[in-house]
Amino acid sequence: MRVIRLIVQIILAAMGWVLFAWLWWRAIQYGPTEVHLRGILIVAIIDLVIVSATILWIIWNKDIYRRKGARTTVPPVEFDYAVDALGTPVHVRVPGDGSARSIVIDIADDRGQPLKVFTSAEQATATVGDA
Amino acid sequence: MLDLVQSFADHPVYDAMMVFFAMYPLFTSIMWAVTAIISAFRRERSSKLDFYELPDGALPRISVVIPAHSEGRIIASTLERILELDYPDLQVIVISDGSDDDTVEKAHAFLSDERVTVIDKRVNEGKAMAINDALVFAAGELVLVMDADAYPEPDALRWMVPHFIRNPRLAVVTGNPRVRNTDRLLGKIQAVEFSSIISLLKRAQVVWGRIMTVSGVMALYRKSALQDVGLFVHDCATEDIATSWEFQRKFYDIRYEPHAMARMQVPPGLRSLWNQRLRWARGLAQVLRRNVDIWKSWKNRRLFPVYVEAVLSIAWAYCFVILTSIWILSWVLGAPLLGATPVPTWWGMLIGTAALFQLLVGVLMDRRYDPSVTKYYLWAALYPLIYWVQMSIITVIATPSGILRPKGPGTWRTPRTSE
Repeated sequence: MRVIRLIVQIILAAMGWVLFAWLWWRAIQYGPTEVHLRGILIVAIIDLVIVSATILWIIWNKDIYRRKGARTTVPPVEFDYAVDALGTPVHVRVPGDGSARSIVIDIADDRGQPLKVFTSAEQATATVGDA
Repeated sequence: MLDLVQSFADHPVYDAMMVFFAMYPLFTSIMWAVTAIISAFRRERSSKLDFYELPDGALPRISVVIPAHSEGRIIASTLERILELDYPDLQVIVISDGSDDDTVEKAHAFLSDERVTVIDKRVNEGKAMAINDALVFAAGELVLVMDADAYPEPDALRWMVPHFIRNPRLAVVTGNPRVRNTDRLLGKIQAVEFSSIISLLKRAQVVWGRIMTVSGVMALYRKSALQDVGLFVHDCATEDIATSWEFQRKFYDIRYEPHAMARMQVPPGLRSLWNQRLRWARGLAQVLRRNVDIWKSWKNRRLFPVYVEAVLSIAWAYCFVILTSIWILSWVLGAPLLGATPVPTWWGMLIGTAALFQLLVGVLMDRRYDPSVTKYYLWAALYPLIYWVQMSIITVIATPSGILRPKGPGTWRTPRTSE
């Protein structure tokens, strides 16, 4: 089955390249020559413009780097995950020492409001057992 | 109807569309290829191994976060490979986001390894929210976020970490995703495509100074930078593109490291490919809408080229669909043929050849890191046939919804069709 699939895929690939060659042959056969030359000229101009612009861009940026140096300052970040991105308050009941390695996150009902609760799997099981 | 088509063809907008339709792909193909060659010449010519050589003691702790939704079939094999990473100080966090299969049970089997933590998130809130919740338990200052179906190469982290040590303003290093399921035809074509749209474009964008997006498949983040931008953007179809823009708007750097490879699965069928690309196109439109205010400040000027290029790509897709429809309509009505012919002429072949040249450059550059990709170029001739039509239609469909609804969706589905 695998071999047959590969053979079919190779035939399709070959057909793709044959089609590509045929379309080129057809385009050259029926297209006016001045259009061909104009196309080649446009490609050459595009190449020239892109290479020149990129080299100028690199030189300009290297010049900025030479004058200012690398940006090394890191903004101080204070982050508190008391509320998640959806606005749900977060309550983490898992010890922060990394001892809990099986954790459950669930949305509980806190007096009519959703509360995202992080508990260890043992705590979650005990809660179910108590209930 | 004929009069309507004819009057449109007489309008200057039609002429402008025809010129843009003809010139834009030629210009971009050459630009991507040439700029990527310049980038590779500057950065990859010598191996610069001293940049990467760091003793184990100098390597910071890394937390690997694997968000998973109903990935029971593959999570065990992914974990096996992640635990084989050549890195001295790892923490691995699997977070199941509302899975309705045995993902949690399969992950629990790895708890005997003290590096592993398993989080069972009972409510499906989406990939970004799952990662954000997992970060509460991430002990490392660097966080590797990986798709649950991706297999990292053992040395991937060794290539990524030195960038962070040498550049304090670096927020993320994106890896080099390689296609794993190349048994199907679409897999082979996507193997070539990823060398072009991922590797080649990122190399080119590095020269510009800003990158459209990191690869969500595998990227190593600085946790403090993530916290600085408010963690992963949760209300966008493509959290990787949206978060990349958040970083760059705060002047953080993004690097692409071609040595850091991960083997991933790509959609094997047209339907799953369609759904994936529909999500990507909608996500891109959402990001463009959300970041339209970059134009208010000159400080954001380095994002301007990335923004303009994305808008022009969308405009080209509309031109493709409209002009081809006009051709079909004029052909059906028996009128003089107008618009863009589906059978390429001289200029169409020039565009197609430029696209194949771009693919070839991408493959030749990536061959150094993944020699297996070369043989898949055999199928490259099918790429324009299959992808241009499909991607143009997808872009036309997805863009309005992305622009009109710049936020959403919240939950995710990951239908895997093969292991």
